[in-house]
Amino acid sequence: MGPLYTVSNKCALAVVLAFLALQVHRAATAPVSTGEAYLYDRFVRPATREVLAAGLPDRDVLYSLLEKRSVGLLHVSPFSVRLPSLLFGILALFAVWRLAMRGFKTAWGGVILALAAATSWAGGWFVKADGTGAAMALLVCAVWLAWERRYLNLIGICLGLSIAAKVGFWLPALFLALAILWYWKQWWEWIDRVAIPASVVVVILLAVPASHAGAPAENPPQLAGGQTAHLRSALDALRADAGTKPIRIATVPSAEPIVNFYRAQHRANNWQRALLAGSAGHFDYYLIPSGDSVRAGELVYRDADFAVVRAAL
Amino acid sequence: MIGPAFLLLPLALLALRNPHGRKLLAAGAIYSIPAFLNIEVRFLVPALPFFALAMGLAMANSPGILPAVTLFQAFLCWPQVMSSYCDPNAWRIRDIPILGALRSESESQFIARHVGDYALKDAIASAVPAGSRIFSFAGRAQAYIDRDIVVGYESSQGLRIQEALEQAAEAHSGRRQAALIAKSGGCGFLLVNDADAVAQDLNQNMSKWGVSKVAETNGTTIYRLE
Repeated sequence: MGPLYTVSNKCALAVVLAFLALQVHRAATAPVSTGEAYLYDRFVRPATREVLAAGLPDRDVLYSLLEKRSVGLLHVSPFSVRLPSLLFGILALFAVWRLAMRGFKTAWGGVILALAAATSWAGGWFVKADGTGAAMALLVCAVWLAWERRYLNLIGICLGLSIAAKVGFWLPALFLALAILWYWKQWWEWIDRVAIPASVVVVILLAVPASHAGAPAENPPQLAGGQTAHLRSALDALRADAGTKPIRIATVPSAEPIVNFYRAQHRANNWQRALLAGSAGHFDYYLIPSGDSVRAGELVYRDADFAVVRAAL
Repeated sequence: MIGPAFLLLPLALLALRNPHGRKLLAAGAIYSIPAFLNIEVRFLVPALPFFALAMGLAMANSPGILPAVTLFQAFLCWPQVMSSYCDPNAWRIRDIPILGALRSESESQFIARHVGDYALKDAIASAVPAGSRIFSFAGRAQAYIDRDIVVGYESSQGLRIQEALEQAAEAHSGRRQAALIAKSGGCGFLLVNDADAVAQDLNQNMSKWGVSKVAETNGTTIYRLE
């Protein structure tokens, strides 16, 4: 490797830090999406025993565990549920930097690092509370370690953790493992340092959740970015209108996890968990798409996407 | 329950590269033959030590992995942890009985908490004369009951009595003859759980069966065959 603290590297570091600051700001302020709220509501909020009893398939097991820890430390907020992703983003940039410094001349290494930071900002993988960013970061780490041939056991562990972070990454992880075998050309070393650690990590993290995931997967429809912002405004209006009186809220599948996330974030203990419109029982408020016919009651809030209706007594 | 670490058993095949591993796998294969004839987990137990050693040999060249697997197994097999993920009826160590081990709790109290049938011990001892045989539809904790018990599904004689009693209860006829089949088999008493198929009919038609109730405890009734 060439000298580390050249002018170009310092410039690249400044760019990276700027993008990181933007990522942190985005993680703290962007409204949670349906997927993020769903992961929190179904796999992070309940006790482990309840999660296993529900039998829902969790495709982001490692991320759920880290999010549980983060939420336990910092309470529920958009930032706390995204914090593990942010940290994995930093890990990914570190691995890219090490790869770039090894594979390219010093000046180009800095440029590649800055490009990686910009790409991760544009992709938004490290400001989403799901396992995608973590899985990507761990794969990049595995590439770096395999290239440097250092901490060999960690290569397999990274591949296994990547699958545990996002089950859908099993194929990229498998291809990467085979590529490492092709690069090393040492069959037994690959078995001992990559295949066995990866298998063990996958079994340790996924065996129990996978064996309990007997229920069909739920796929709530996702809201677009603008819709989640409108939903947050609708919830603010609902909260102001309801005050501290106990209420029951009915809503649509795309909004239900977000309403429950909002309830946990603002410790709205007077709210019962939101249910889907059409469920049995009386509801005090309806949070529905503004295009739906307004139910009998008083309109509390309405924008382009959502309406809040207070049910008639 | 033998613990989730044994899901890694396929990795034990990697021990084939080691002479000791080949011997261990061969021994494990031989001891696992009963498991092919009966798929209950307990039939795997004789083979597990060999397979566990083979797994250890297979992972020996992966630094840090064996301690990780050991900790994983120990954590997931801890009684309190196990209860969060395994079936409530799964056979397992449910707690660490420190009070029982220190004899702060008497033996009879400890056994009564863990073995439901222990409640029958005194009732049987007082109602059934020594040397008498009892017929039961379900298996019993015979280690604690000082009488011979003929369990329905455990012998051809038991099956014959069980079928006769169940058929009579279902047909609502031939009850006395069915009871005499039990009596001719040397069983002077019946041990019937409330959930057994004949329980309700037996309780409502004791005279037709030719039986009398001698004790009732813990959801189980003891009848004497007249």
